[in-house]
Amino acid sequence: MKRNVILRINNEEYTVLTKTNRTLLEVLREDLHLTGTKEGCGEGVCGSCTVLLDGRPVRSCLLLVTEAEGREIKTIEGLAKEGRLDPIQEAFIEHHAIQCGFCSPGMILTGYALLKENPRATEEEIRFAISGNICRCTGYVKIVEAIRSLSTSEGRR
Amino acid sequence: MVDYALIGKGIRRVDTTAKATGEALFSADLKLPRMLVGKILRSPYAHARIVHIDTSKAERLPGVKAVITGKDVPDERWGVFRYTQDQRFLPVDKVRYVGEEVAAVAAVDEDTAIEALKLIDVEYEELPAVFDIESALKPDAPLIHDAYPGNINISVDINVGDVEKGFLESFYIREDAFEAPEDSYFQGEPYAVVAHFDSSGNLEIWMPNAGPHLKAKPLSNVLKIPLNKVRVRKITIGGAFGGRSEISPADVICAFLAKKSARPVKIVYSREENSIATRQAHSMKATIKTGVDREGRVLARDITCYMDGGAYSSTGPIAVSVPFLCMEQAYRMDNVRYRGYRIFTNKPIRGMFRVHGRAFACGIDLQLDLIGKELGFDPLEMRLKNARRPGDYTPTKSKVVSCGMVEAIERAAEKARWREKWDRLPPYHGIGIGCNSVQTGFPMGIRGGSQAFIKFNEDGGVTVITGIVDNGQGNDNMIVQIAAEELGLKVEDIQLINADTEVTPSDPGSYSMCETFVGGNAVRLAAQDAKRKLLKIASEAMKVEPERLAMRDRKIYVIDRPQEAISISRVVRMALSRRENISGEGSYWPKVDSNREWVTNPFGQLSETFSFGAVIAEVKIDPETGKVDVLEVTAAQDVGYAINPKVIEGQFEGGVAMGGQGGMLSEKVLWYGGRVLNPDQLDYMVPIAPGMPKINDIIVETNDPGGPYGAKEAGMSVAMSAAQAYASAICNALGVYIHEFPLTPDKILKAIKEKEEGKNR
Amino acid sequence: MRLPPFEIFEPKTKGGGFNLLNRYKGDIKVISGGTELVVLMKDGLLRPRYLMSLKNIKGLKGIRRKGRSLIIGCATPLEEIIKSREVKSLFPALVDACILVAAPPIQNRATIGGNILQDTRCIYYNQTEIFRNGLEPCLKGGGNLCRAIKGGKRCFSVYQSDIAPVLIAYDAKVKIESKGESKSMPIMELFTDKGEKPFTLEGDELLTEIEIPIPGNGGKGIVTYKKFRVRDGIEYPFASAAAMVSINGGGQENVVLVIGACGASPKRLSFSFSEGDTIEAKMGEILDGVDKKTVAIDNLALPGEYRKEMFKIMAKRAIKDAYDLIRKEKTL
Repeated sequence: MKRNVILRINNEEYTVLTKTNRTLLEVLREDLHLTGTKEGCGEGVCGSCTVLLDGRPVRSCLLLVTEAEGREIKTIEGLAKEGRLDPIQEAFIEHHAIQCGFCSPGMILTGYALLKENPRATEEEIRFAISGNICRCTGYVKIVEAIRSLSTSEGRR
Repeated sequence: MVDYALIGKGIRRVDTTAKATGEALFSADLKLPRMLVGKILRSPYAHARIVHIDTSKAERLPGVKAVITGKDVPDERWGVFRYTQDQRFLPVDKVRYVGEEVAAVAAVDEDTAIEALKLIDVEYEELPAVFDIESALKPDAPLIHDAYPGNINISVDINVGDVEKGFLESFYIREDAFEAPEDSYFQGEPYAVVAHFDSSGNLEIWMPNAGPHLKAKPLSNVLKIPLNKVRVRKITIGGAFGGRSEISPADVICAFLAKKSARPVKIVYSREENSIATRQAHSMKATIKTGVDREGRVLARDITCYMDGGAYSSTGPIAVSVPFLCMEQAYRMDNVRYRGYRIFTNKPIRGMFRVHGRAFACGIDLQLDLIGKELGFDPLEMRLKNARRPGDYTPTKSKVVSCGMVEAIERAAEKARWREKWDRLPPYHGIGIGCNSVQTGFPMGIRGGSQAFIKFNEDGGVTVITGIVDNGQGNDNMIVQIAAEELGLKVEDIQLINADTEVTPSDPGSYSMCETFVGGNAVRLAAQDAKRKLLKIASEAMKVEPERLAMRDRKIYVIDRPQEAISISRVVRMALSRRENISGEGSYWPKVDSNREWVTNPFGQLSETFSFGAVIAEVKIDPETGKVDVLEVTAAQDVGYAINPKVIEGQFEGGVAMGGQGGMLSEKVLWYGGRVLNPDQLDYMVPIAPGMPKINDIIVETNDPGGPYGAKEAGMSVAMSAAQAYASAICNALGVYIHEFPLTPDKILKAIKEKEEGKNR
Repeated sequence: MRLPPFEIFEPKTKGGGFNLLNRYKGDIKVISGGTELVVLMKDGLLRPRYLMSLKNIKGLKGIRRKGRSLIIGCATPLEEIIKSREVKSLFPALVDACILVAAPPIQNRATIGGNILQDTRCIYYNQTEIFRNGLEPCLKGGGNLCRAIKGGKRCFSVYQSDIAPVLIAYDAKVKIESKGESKSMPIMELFTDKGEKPFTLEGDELLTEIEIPIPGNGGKGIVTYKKFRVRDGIEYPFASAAAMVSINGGGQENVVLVIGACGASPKRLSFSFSEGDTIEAKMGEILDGVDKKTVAIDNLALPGEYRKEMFKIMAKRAIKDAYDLIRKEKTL
């Protein structure tokens, strides 16, 4: 069964004619070519498919596309403004928080959402916030450093 | 200390902006016009004869554009060596593990492809199967390959010095057995391939790879097309960690589907397929007998090691040898016998892994702790007494040119405050050390060298062309940093074309830890070649001998009169107006013994140089749950020279996570017969951010005379020695030595209980 | 990973929803957060013909007070519970449990109703078709055998909710509604203790509300929750315990202990002590009780024998924390 689904992604509206047994992840990647959102496990474990739904990180691999209707979706492609990277993207690059880059879109969006909600996030809060985003390359050290560098909490490194 | 403009600086990586914005394309992100979705039918049996395959129903399903079975693929067998070629990309006679490729379809969309797979009828005749080393070695065990009697895939026997005499002269001898189940890569990116033939019969193919040329050759063989028609393209790669070097059946299947359907085809593996149908690491049992003198110096060692290789040879001879080689490099052992066996079982195929041989390496190190305990030396002393030193030869006759093992151990010990802490920690706290050494490549015959080209544009900008591949570790950046340094340019002046078999020259690949050493040297030589041409022209224009000129900040200047300078772009234009082009070529072939062979002649220079690392871990154990809290880890490694220290730190930190936190605390494959119970990161417990320890990175530099700027390997030593340090620290905290890894909470709690019961008895 | 085909309904009213559940009973599943259902469907373990989304139904979401109770709508995401000041002050252990569920991005979608009604799990059952191909179905998969225990005649799959044990300790009730019917029952009555079909709920019934009684001023009990997992995130509990300790006017102490990740339902134990009993004596009796009432077999990623030990350790820690908190309150 197909139907038109209206999605608001990165402040733009998209109308997608799609079967309803699809996840937001599939529609983002296959129909809208927003391939910055990655499929790492498809089962909600790894966090590579993280997008922001009304500002909060969620697993797009577990979200039916129909459930995303009427919500504000932000993907990694929507973070930079007019060609200028968001400070969280700059921080990830500067701190060498990116190696292979597969987890990076999800990790960056998670960090972005955390700092929006809690600009004074401590190291422990950062580690908790990214606890559902698996990185196999970095050991998380530089990822935590990158997010921490933008936190206004006292005693940051 | 040389004053470099870029080398030795932790500059931003050139590849990470695209990765931070979602712009970087991985294989699964590609979309070509008219592209089809490919899916693979996998064997539900661990060992079965394929009696008949009927694809007719699948072929009739609307939307299906191609169906292939083993009959569609020529009988070319894969194996890294001529004598291990045992795997057909699609088997015709029998399947040897659950998940082996049996047939494949290409269809207009994924749902149709999945439906088509269900319409393929395969008649199997199930055969008895074996799932562990002991069963596979029984005289009546089912034979997995006719060519390998007794299911013994590879035997390596190395006997150096006089082991018997060494034991006779020993003051103390002990024998211990260590074992560990399989571990797995869990790269961030699941495997994916896109293949496309043009009307001239050229294959374009994208896949995560640890060496595009190593993928191209078997594709050329099986497709019966020349190498210049196989275009393995550059693509962003989501990790390799020792895997992804070999051809994958998916590569071949995708190419044949594309050929048959005459359309581009994309195959994307699920996480589960990535865990069962690409390589995994070996399970291992190592028995180690070591004799030492009164001072704790090793006089003799006798090691026997069995590895479960799964259903096919893969990198067999290398896999059997590397755990031993790492240890013979790390520690002095003049009289040593090593017997290594890789055994076939009906399990998915095992390959090389960044933490390859944790049972082996942890066994060697833990046994040093145990010996030290008998003789009254702490683990640190035991490591220092036996550490490899520069100028030594390894037992298998490699000269060790540069070696910072002692410095790595000492600096790690100082930073970790070992001497204050040893024997003074509270109950259930422990500290431990692990040491390792890794090759920077090994003899690879005609594929052992790397070549690079450099081309100058009239505006002074440069394009570098090299076969070096980046799996995520930062190799692209390494190339650019070297080229920019040599040519006195800015990073943004360098364009990179790499890892594309159509245009880039041969390169050994990144899996043997040689990209910086071999590939980096080639890039540097190519830059120096172009530089020589520029300096010649500049010297004529400036009327100064070329030796007195240098390049920096886009200028050529007189070394002792820096204000006398001329822009590089101007010199390039001068050259062009003289009808001369500015370009450079560089080749590097590591000085290795090309007669060395893994099984028949395991002697001679294995690698031009070796890295050496030491990791110290401090842990606290919850005695009620057995859960380990890792307080601090100090990782020190002789990397030769840090071209980009931030990149090196990233390798160390990732190594501690993979080898120590994951490799020693939680990571293991769970089995139900030949089926993997935990193909996901939920039950295969890769590390997550909470619980990771504080990590101190110590970069030790010995300036290897052969390395580019003195650089060696940086990606593997720490991962290995972290596993060893964790094991050593946990056993120190427990006061009990566990011989089976990883040290999961249940095993630790059991050890605590047994110890308490022992006390109460 | 793909989802099997289904048709989705998005009713706007509860009544409309109950009609659909009634009409397609047995063929329909309710989706809200989707964090479990989508995985089970992708694995091919569930293939409902219809899904019913709760997204447009008003009144199933949110936290409100009703008399001496706090009502939490079934479709309330865990994240909303975690951020609720009211829940934090009245039922802090519920917040603790929600924070321990999986990871924050899951908490942002997963609902309390879905968490309570999560299916039981087993490492031999929660697998994909690649794993199942060529194997007989197990008891939970509709077959006759158990892979975890050779010759097993019943399903030993494990109920791994973090939240249910805490709600049981708080004496919560659930409201179950269906077409034209509504009933309220203690949350314990939801469980069949059978791995094959863990819940008493019928296919046309919906768990709409969770009602937690607000304790009176005199007999306020303290609830704590402890969870064992290998890594500090993502994982389901391998063993967990919720404890409720209350002391009444006469100095009588009541302890309720709920063990989680133990078989197909939470295991509830209650004890009562007098003030004079030593903590060692109390703990001894409690842990004996836990030992007798718990079973664990090798059907998760950690051995059963070990998990059984962890039930006791989690119980001990939960109770110790509860007593510590009571002592702290007394001294304040």
